[in-house]
Amino acid sequence: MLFRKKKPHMSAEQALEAKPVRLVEAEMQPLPDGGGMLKVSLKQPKWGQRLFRLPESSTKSFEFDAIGVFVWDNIDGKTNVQQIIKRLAKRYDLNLREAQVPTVKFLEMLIKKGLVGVPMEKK
Amino acid sequence: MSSISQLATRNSQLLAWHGWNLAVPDTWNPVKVDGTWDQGLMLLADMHQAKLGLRWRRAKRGDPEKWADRALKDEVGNLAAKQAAGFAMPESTDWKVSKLYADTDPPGRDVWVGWSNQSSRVLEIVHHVKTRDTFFEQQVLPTVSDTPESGEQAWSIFDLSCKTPSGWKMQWFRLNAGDLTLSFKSKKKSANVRQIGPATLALTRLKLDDWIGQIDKSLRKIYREIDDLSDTTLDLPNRTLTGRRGVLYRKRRLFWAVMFTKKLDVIGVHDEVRNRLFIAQGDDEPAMREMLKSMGWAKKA
Repeated sequence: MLFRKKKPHMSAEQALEAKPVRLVEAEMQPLPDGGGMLKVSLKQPKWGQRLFRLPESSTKSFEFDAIGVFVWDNIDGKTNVQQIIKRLAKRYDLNLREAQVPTVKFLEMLIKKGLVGVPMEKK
Repeated sequence: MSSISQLATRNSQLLAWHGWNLAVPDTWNPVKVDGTWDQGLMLLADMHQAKLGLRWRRAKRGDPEKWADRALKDEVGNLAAKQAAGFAMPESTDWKVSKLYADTDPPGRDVWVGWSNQSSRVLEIVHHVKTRDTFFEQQVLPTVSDTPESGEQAWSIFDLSCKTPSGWKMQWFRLNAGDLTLSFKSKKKSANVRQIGPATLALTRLKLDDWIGQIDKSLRKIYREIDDLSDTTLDLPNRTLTGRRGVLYRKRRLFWAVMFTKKLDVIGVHDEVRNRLFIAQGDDEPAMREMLKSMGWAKKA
C-alpha cells in the first residue's frame, strides 16, 4: 500500500480534452455485419518467461461492433474525446448525451484492456 | 404547441415533460430526471457542466406573489431576491406570476419562478451562467409553457418524442443510450412506447421479431412468450410503415391474477427514414397506434 503508485486523477474537463492513442499495432479486420475484429499479439510476461512460455504467434482477438469500429478509427492521437463524441453523434444521428455515455464507457474499457492510452500532461 | 415548434431553430431541441414545454440548445441534455406530474425535477447539462435546473410542484392555494418572493429568497438569498423583477412571458395570461432574478456578477445563477394557470403548478428554473448574457431570458424563457392535465400530452426527451391521448399519465420511464422507453397508464389500461436506435445497428444484433418478442423482466413471470407474429401497417400522414404485431398471453396458471390483463398487444415497426425501431406494448391497441403515429413529432424536418 505504501509503495503503490498513485493513479493519476483526471477531471471531467481533462477527460474530454484528452487525445487517446492506440497502444497496440494491429489492423482491424472488417466483419460482414459492419463490425471488426482486432487481433493483438500477446506479449511474453516477464515473470512467466521461464515457467510459462507463450507461443510466439499467440494472439488475442477483440470483436467490435460498428460503433466500436467507428470510435477505434477515430483514435489517432490527434482527436480528443469530445470530438469523437460529436462525430459519433453526427454519424448515427444521435443525441450528444446518447453518444457521450457509450463512448466514454467504451474508451474506459479499451484503456482497461490495454488497447488505448491517454497521455496526461505533467503538472 | 405550434408556437414552440416555430421557435425551435436548427440548434435547439424541444423538451416536453409532464406538461412543461421549452426549447433548449441541442447540446443541453437531461442528466437527472425524477418525479411525477405533481412534483418533480430535471437537471440539464452539456458535456462540461450543469446548465439548467427545473423544479415543479402542485400549488393550488396561496398568494402567488408571496410564493414567488419566498421561492427566490430560498434560492438566491434575501438581498438578491429583492433585485428580482417581473418577467413578461409571451402568453402572460397563462401565468399568475413570473419573476426573474439575473445575477449581476457572474459566474452565478439566474433564477426564474412562475405559477402556471394551466395546471396550478409552480415552476422554478435555475440557469447556471458563466458570463453575463441574455440567452436565458431571450431564447429559453419565452419558450416555456404549460399544458393542462386533461387533454393530449406531448412528450419529448432526448431523441424520443410522442403524444399521449387525453387521460394517459406517465407510470415510469427508462432512458438508456439508444433505448428509450416511456410507460403510460389510463385508468385500467396501460401502454409502453420504446424507441431503439440506430435501427441499422440494432437489427444486426436481433431481428425485428426478436426485438418485439423481448419481454420486460417484470412481465416474464406473468406472460408467455409470443407464439407467432403477423404483419401490420402503421399509416403516417405522408407514408406507411410496415411492421409486425404479436400478442402476449397471461400464463394459464395465473388465471386467478385478474389484476394483470389477459393479453398485451405488441406492435413493432422499423422507420427507415429516421433509422429507428418503434415498439409499443399494452392493452389498448388504438391508443398505442396513436402514440406510435405521433413518434418523432419534435424532430425537425
